[in-house]
Amino acid sequence: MSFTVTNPFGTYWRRIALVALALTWITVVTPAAQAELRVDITRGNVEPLPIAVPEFFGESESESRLGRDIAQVVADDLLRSGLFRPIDKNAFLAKRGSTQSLQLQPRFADWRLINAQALVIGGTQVMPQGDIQVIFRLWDVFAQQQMVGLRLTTTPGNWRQIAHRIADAIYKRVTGEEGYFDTRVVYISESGPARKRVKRLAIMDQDGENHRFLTDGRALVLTPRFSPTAQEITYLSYSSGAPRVFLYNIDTDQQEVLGEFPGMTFAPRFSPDGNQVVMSMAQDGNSEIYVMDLRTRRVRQLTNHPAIDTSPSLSPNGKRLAFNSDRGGSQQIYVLDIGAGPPKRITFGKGRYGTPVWSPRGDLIAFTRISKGTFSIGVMRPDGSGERILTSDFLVEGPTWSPNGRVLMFFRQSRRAADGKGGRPSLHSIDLTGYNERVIKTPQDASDPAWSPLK
Amino acid sequence: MRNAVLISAGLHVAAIALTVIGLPSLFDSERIEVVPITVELVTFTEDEKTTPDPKPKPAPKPEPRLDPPAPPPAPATAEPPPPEPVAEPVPAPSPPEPAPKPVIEAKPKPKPKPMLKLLARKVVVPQPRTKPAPPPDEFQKLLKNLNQERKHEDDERKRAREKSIALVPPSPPIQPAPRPPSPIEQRMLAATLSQEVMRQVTPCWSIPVGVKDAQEIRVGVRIYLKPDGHLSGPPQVEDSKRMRSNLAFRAVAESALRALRNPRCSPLRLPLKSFETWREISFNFDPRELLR
Repeated sequence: MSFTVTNPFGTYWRRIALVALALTWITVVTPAAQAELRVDITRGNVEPLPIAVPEFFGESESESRLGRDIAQVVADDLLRSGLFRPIDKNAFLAKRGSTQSLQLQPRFADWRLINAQALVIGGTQVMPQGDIQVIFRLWDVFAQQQMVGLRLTTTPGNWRQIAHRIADAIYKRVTGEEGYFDTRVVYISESGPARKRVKRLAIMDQDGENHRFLTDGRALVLTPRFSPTAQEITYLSYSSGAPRVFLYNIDTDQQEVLGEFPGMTFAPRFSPDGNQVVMSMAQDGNSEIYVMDLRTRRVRQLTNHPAIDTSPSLSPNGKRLAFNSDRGGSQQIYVLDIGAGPPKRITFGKGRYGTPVWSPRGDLIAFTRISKGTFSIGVMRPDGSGERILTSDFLVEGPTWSPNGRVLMFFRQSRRAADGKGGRPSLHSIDLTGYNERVIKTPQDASDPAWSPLK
Repeated sequence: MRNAVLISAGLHVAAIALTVIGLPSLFDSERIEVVPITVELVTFTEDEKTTPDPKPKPAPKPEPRLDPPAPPPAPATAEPPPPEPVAEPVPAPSPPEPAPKPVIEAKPKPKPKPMLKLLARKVVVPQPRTKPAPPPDEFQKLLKNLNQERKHEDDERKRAREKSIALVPPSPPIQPAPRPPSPIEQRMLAATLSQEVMRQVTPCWSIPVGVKDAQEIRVGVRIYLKPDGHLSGPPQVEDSKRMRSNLAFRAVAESALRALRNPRCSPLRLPLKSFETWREISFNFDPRELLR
């Protein structure tokens, strides 16, 4: 080592060099050290959001009972969506507040302790005229900020709708999507032995409450479809002997035959704007797709092919039509740009494809696939790409979209077991992830659901 | 006059001769005087003695030195720092040292042996094979050795330089020099920290799957941290305008904010010694993979 140090000039220049080096390090490296750290988060989970929905406050006995019921309906709605996880009430640390405490900030520490990320605080009040008023606030527990707050007033009999609206507001605020809780479902209620099956049109809230029958069961009814814009249903009825498409106004209970067609009409469905109905008409062993304007009652033929064309569904902008046809040899789904050339086949997987239903969001088409004796319900993009099966069984059919295009309802019928169990159709909902499937309870067997728009 | 002239001339010559002869001797003596610089050498070598540890492993050197310059926080942090800075600088200089030796010795020895064996077993054929074979081998070995020796020399030079760096510290500007790691080290450190932050935050990110086209939304969030890993202020969404105008973007952004505020994942647990590197973190939340 002495070699390196003996030369005084060497050490001198080395020193200068070192000082210079040190200075360059300071100037060059230090800014880099002060720069931010960059982190990509590309993974995570799809766990539902932990949300606390304590009972809404109420001063009187009836008000607090109402508050308890509303909170329960809100929590149930959020739970069923699969995107929220209401926290067990027994875990709550915070004391029951009063209506005045609605104006104050909650004690967030209490809610953080039980891992709540969102908090719903609400209160109920019966007004002098008998109406009920409900106030609620949704809080972000971590940010300690209000996310949304509303005051709703209605008649006491409508309290469920208020609860659904609150759930919709929470859903919308957290997901950025419209909710679907304040909606109804029409479906075919079935009863009696297989040979003498009674099928009635029934309607209920999306959670199965407020159930009622719309028809008495004397005539066979099939394929009810909700208008996307009004409280109207179109369906197929044999009441006049031959199958005919009917229109039913839920508010007025009035029904009418839709159009005067020479052949039988079936598979009706509203256009997204609610002003038209597309349907199939069969004549001389061939069926084609027609569209009828509900105001002018003018009819226009959309397809013209010797094969069977049926199950029409219009895209949200009304310019494209999805339907199934066996023109290619087996039943497949085709998409037609209305007034622009021949339809394009979009399904090429194994099996037969049918019942295309365009999502109200427009991004997907739901369908039924029959392959090797098994039915499946899936979704694909309108160009046929991204096919995804959500559920399969002995029989799954009749997919219908929630108005926000996030959830499908359908009916499921498993194979009847040797002991006679099973084999009865029931309604189910499943979200687009395919993981959150839930049964919708109905008084009798149920098939062919149709989801209403938001009320 | 003549004598006087001669004398003066002789004296002149003598004087000139004296000056000519005497001057070099004077320069010589000056040169000799320069020698005392060796005294400095002694002091230097003493310094070296005080830092004999560095010799075996140059890396530890900078660390002990780190301690004194930054007394208040350093003692606690000085110990943790070793692992990371050591990891990178050490491998470079230290392995070559032991490496060359075993190579030089081990390689020549084992190789001659197989050759001998071959010679012993097969008389005629193996010889021509072995003969051409060894020269390149040995030549390569030589080359390798040369290279290694060169490396060795380089390393020694480096080490010497490092030592001299170590020697200089008395002068103040050097103090900061060992503190900031090299750009490469800095990048490595950033990569390591970034992975660690990702590991800690990922379990807390749960995006609402209901968001339309969520797979096309990316959210940039900037956070500022305290040395204890807590947020020093609310996280900032970079595209705050979009927070107001686009509900889907807001939903994804808020899920990112919840992840960063979730007590399960906050405070972030990161080495305090590299606090300067992680006091400001810019996140890019990208749900593409999650929603595929």
